Amino acid sequence: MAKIFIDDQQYTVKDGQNLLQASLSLKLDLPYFCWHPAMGSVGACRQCAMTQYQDENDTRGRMIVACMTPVTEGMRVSMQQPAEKEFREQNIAALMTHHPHDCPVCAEGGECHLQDMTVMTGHNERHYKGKKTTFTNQDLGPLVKHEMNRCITCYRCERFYKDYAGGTDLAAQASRNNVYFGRQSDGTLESEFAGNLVEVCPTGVFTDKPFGDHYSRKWDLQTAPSICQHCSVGCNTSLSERYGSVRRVTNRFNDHLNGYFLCDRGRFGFSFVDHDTRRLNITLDGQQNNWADTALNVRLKNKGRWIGIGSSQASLEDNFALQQLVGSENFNPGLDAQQEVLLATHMAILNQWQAPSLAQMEQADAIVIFAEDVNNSAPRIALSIRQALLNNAKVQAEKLRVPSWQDAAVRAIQPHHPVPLAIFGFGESDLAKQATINLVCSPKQAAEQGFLLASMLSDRAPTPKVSKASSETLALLEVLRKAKRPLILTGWSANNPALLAAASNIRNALKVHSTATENGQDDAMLCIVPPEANTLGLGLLTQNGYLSIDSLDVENSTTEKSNLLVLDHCSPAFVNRLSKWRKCADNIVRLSQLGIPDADEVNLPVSTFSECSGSLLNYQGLIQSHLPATKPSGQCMPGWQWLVNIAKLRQHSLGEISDLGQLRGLLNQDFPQLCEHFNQHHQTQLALQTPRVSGRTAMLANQTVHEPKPFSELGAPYKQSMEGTQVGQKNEFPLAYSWSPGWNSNQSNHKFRDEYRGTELEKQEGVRCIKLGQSDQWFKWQANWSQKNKAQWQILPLQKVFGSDNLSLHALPIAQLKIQAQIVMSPLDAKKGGYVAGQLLYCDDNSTALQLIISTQVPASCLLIYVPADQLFELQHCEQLTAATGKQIDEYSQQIKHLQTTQQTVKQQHRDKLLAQDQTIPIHFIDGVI
Amino acid sequence: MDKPLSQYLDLDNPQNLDAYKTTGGYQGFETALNMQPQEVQKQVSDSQLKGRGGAGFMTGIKWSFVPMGKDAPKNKYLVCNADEMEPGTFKDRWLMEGAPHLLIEGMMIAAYAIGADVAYIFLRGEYRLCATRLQQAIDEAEAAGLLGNNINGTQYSLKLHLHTSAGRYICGEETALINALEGKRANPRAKPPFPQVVGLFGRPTIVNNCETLCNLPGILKNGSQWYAELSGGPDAGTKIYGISGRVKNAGLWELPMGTTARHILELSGSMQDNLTLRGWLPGGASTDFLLPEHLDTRMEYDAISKVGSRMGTGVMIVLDDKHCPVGMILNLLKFFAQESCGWCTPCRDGLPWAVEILSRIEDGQGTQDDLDALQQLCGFMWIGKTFCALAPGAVEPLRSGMKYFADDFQQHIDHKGCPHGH
Repeated sequence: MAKIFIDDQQYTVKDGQNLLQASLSLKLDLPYFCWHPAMGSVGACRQCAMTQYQDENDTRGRMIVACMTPVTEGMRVSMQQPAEKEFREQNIAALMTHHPHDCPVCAEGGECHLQDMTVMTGHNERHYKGKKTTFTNQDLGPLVKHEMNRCITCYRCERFYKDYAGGTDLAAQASRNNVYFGRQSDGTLESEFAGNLVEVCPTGVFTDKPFGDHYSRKWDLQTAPSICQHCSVGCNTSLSERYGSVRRVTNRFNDHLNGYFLCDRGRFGFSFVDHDTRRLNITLDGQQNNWADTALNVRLKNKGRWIGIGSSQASLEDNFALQQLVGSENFNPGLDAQQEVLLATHMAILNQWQAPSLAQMEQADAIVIFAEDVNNSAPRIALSIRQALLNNAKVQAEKLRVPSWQDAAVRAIQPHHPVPLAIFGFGESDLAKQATINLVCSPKQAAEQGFLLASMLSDRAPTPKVSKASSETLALLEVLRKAKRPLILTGWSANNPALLAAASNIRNALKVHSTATENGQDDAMLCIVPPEANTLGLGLLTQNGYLSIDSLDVENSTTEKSNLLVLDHCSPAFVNRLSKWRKCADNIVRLSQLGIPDADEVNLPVSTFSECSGSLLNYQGLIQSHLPATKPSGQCMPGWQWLVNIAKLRQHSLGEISDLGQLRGLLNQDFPQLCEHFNQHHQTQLALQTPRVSGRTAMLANQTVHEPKPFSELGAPYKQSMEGTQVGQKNEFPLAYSWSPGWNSNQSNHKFRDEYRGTELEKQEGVRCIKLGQSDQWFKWQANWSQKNKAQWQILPLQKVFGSDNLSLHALPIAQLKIQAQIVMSPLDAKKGGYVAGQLLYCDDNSTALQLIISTQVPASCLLIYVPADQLFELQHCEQLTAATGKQIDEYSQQIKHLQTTQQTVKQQHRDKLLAQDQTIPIHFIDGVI
Repeated sequence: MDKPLSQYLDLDNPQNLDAYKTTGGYQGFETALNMQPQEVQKQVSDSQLKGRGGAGFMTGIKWSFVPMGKDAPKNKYLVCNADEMEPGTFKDRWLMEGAPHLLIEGMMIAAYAIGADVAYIFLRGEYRLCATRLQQAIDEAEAAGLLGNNINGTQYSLKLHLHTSAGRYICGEETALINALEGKRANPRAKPPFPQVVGLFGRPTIVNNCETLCNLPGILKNGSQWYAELSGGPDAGTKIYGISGRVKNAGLWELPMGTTARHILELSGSMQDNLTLRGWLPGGASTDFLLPEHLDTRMEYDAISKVGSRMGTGVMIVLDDKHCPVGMILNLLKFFAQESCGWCTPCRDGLPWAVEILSRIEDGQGTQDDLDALQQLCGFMWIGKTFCALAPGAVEPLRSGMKYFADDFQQHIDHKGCPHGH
């Protein structure tokens, strides 16, 4: 800690910070633009000017910029003397010489950092009489809107996009007061983190395009704390609503998970809740129906055996209610056979090793990734790993007495002090480009080398059948022996449990290895990436047994006809499986968010994550709950509520539950570790709107003059209210939105946080549901892992950010970016077969047209195949590749063209529908109005 | 009088390697090669050589921050800053066109002294003739084994590259130059880290001005004592002084450090007929105006700063009584506004603002408020408020001009036009 004097007031601040960081942590209002807590300092905008004095007798001092000045013991500075105040005002005046006066039509208005800072400095009169510089805007694709005239040249966008996120297609161009931030030419931004530009930009150059199409001012939005549904990280989001429809997702700061940034799948994937195939009505055998209907009741009261099929797409509460209703012996988690093995392995590993948070992973000093394309399966993790690659450069910078927040300096040093990154696997990705050790191999080979590596690190580790370590493995061995905080990462993408076992053995071996070293410190990290937002929720529920898919298959074909009660699933693979079971089942009841109901099923519409509370277990087993932003649409109810209602019909004890609180009480009984999470803020009021919200009482005035009451769910931990806990009042409360007086933008974070995500990390808060148990379990190489297939080609699955997550494909902005099916092969194989990049191929007799990409990141005799999650593709091997005929090629391009034109129409219709809906909100939207 | 630089100079037919050698060329380098690098550094320190780019920093001290010895990083770089874009300055061009081998020998000495194995000449793109002649000289030196591996049978190897700039004034700032050389935007870097520690491609780097480097062969050949005694004053050695503007013969002369400005003006044959000197910029466009009464000041770093300006490049620009000072300042500021790299706010948006105001004043549209606004802008862009020295340098002629030629500014406002009829 250091004592410093600001305006003759003594403060104690943390060492190693810069003065801007320290001032903001003290909740002092100091304007800034180019600095960003996650991106460090570059000193470009000069807005945070202060005066520094040599000692108490120095009356003149010299002007400094706070972001570039480290705090030192006893330093004396002023923030409110005329010199620096005048300078800061003049600086804003200079920035504003070219800023248009278009605030009324600017999407940033009301949450604009530039507006806030302008008001803060007191600049209120324009003196510049010249012409403004004008620019041409670019079409940057369906997610981000570009309005360059508003630019104040803070360089944040370029620094985020290029330096922080590794994008290559957006940069500063030209010079002087003509600097242009954009692409070389119009076109969709390529980075999967482009959406963060909306929040990174301090003004309205980059704005949220889908939000702009159906826009509301921030102060009119009602915002609920939510959890992203599109991968297993569990990024914290703010979900905003107006007139009963969800408008946007923004980042909700979580220092251990998402920090300040989301991926675009998370930011723009939410609008599946408005998709055309959204289930809004009860249907019976394809016909609309209602709950009181006798025929429906008969079906639901069927006395036969009920089998429940859970879903990793549904909340812990929904899955738990289903398990309670059917009994765990009849509860199937809804995974395929291989995934069941993966889940069991994953749980066994989590019993042994806690998974690190993203912030912890950012501190790694050596990284090894086994056959997991984390750039596409959990992009936010990849972004964190990218930051870890700077760690050795930061250490070196400190040695040169350059603080690690000096971003440009650290990046200049980085090439000579890289953090080792080993990639054992396949596929091109941003991380693969950064790899210092890169072994292109199949998942099986990666697992074998992983096992070998573990056995070389510790002789207690079991060995695989192979004994020849690759040179890459030997290089990695040296890296891991030296590393203090190595990170081992793998996941479910390659569909291979041997990878998980290998990673766990390495982790175990590193523990043995480090206990033998001098300080005995064991800070190695192991992270395994599951596929979906609540995959581990299923893991928690199935710990004490479940009905496996194999038994389900057998029972369905042999025993008496059963009833299937199926939680939300919309993947084609599952639908395919269900159609097989359908033949044998007596009765199928589905609880769905999306999809067209089949002719022989009961289909109950369930609330999406935006309409009800629910909890998810992320890749760490950390439980996080989301709150509803809107009331359920149509006849929708939360999944658990339907199940409780069914239980009532069938006089099952679950039917005694009357609200969410009671259900969670039951969960607490089975899993006492959850108490802390569910009881934490019981019945506290939480403000979901800023105090500035306008027009609240007028919203329904055309229908009723009564003051509507904000709705809350019965038994939910929070009461959603107009007042309630405001941001910053209490540290432990989740924030619905980011706002503080004078700080209308998301930059207000510092007003309710003590520290910035920095070198000293606070312990991660929250409840990890999977308890640590024994800690020295080794996995043995299993014979079936070595099984060889004699097919010509082995197919390895490939993932894409925009395409591999089924839910987000139902969101129009993501659907517009959907990547079509691809096949990737090595240059050698392509040459042998005479294949040319870009051509269309078919595997055996499968009808999916695959576009060929040639890449060196493919092991020999392997094909990497990506097929969008909304298409069925179940091949694992292939004997023959066939080139598309001229007719097929024509059809394919017709199809793509058709898709694009339909999307445009759908987009327009969708927008019109939402705008019309705003005019006539259903009156039931707000409680307390009859 | 010794002229260690211009003695080799032949603009029409510059010396080739042999000719240069027969007149004593490369003796300095050979001397250096027989010394330890640190000894070379010491000799240069002892000579009191100051950087000729404008700031006047001691070359020896600059070099002393480079990590030396076994633990030093493997690659180190020497860069010659030959991006001579200061308006009114043309001394480096003169040296490079007239004596290319002198620069190359100087660079070899400097590179050896800091242990650099690669050197670059960062040359102003428009200096085509310089480029041709330098490349010829480099080729000759390479062919003769003076550049390349194991020079003269020693362990020392040096590769020298000529890089022609794509052209920005800011590339004269050493860290912006380094960024440009790396293929990045020519924005200056924050210091620390200084380039001596983290420079080109993240490696220790020395950037020296062309003229500075040209002084090294003489120092090594004749010793630091000789060099210090070349001038009578506190600043050692000789300097390429020059003058431009409406004098009879604009030009360059190698003179002892500390020659008075009046002497330089006299060498040029004084002002053209019917013109009187009104003011002068001592060393390029980014230095404060001085008046005729300052002509007896010795052109030395300290002496010039005592009278309120900077020595800069030492190549003077004169303003006569028939030219409008406001117009001249506007012209200079347009250049600087154009050349701002766009990184920091005061420079990027402040300079065009000043240009906008000055244009209106020159056009007769100015108001009294504009003069206050200009004064404020001078403060806004002053030292400590900007990221690098470009903007403070750019406002030097403005703030001094507003002081010395206040009447001219006032007349523009009062008479709604330029009193000089521009």
